[in-house]
Amino acid sequence: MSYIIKGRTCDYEVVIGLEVHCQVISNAKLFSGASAASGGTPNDHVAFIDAGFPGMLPVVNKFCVEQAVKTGLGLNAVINKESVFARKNYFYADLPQGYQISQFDKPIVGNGYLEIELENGSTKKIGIERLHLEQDAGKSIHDMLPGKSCIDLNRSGVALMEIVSKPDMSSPFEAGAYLTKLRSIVRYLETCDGNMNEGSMRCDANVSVRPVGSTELRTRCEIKNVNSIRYLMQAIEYEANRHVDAYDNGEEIYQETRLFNAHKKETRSMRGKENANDYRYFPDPDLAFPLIVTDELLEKVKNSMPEMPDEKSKRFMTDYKLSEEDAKRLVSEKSVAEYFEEAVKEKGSDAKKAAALILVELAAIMGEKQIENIRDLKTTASRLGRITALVEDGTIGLRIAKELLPMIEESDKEPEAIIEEKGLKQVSDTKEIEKIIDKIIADNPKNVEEYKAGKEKLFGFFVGQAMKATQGKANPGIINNILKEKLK
Amino acid sequence: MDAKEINHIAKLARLKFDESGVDSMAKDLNDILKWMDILQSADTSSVTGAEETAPLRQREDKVTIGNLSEKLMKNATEPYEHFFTVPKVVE
Repeated sequence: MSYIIKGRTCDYEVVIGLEVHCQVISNAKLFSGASAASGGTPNDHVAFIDAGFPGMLPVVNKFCVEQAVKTGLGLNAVINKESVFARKNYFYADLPQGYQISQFDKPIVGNGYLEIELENGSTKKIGIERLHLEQDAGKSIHDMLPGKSCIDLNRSGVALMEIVSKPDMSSPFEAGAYLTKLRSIVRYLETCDGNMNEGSMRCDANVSVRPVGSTELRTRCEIKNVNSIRYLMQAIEYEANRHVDAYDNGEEIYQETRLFNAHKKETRSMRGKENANDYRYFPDPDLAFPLIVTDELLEKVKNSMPEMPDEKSKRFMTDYKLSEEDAKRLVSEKSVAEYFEEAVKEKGSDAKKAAALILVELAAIMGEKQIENIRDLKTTASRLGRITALVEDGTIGLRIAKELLPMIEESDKEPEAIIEEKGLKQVSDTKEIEKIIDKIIADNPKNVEEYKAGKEKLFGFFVGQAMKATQGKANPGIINNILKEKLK
Repeated sequence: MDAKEINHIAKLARLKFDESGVDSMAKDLNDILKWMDILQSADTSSVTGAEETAPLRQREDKVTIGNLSEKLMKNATEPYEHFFTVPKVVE
């Protein structure tokens, strides 16, 4: 199961740590009263401090602190009562202050962990090194004017949580599972919307390799610009193989920052090694006092914690008698879990059928139509719940239930209306089904003979013929009973 | 501080010196550091640091300022529509 890369001289395992930047959900920015909303007219959501005007003083946003504490608790982490803001110094056009206010040696959140599920169904703990608060930078737009970059500072100063994992992951799959779990956690907590394609969640990966069984940590490279879970996995795979090739050829790996190119599926060096990072961190004198998380605040946040995915899946197994696999898959997206619970509130609905329809049929429709959020489907939770109720009370068969879903997506009509309109009601009239079966038996004398001679597999053939003759509307239980009787 | 360190810091600070500038800067910075040493020698063991005197002031999560792009652009050297512009920087 473990992920091994075969080198010429020895086999290698991969060591991966992730740094994830999560934009905090808040009204205002981390240190100013400007709106933290994305979009809008360029440079409108900007206070003078976000534009680096002189003489402005940063004052920290209480709610952003709460959001960081909440996320820390969701990651089973130590909350540091005292933390300190520091300046990280570098020059870039979208960083008007000339430094980013971040946290260095005293972050707000310390060690924690989250659990991921491996391919074989077992779980693995991935350590969290720290979570700290910092400012986001502005945006540079390079393709608007020739020879110039346009700067929009709307994002400048928005609160970010940088969540740093321990180098505990050892395959692209594990890295993908970690990022998926982290995204699910921040979405449950409503501390970050987790939308990687919009940049509100961004991931850098630190990758190195070492001979299998060794405990050394070799030189790592940091890969930036991976804006989806799939790209993250591809980038790690490429980078790990690049290291193995280099070691095989007796070459050295330099610690450097590399950019992932999603088209070529490869990484390339971003800055030369002579320009190694040197951020000269020091405590920000504008925020000289420590940030204190009071017992009162900690208590308040603890009391506001929602049910987390792991707890929710356990409850789904108990309350709805779902399999572990179904429960875990349902809870991995908060929106899906909520949709499911809403569906099974419908009178007469069935949880197992609802879970199956969501995880198989609706998932397929979403994949096909590239719908991200289950709430964007025309099959609302209420409609899905009612469909399972109609199966339960025998109005329609399961096969028709499945066929209804794409019809609803097409027409946005109520399931009951479509059933009525297209005459999809299950045929439970015994006499009618008997007639059909009599005809099938009369038309297939050879199969009847073979079946009676002991070829029992042929029973399925008769059921299939009967379903076909009724366009799937016959009640399969009744078909079975009648067939057994007639074929005796 | 020697010339090598001065050049490194100058590069990080995007400053340019000619040779003689490096030498006089090294002298000035070394003098400042000597001054720091004098300050360091003061016995402050009984003095409480700022970090122990008060917690950080905090703000409510309310939007209190906005729609400033026109005002901001008044200070920009080469604004384009609602943007600041700079020489092209692509990494």
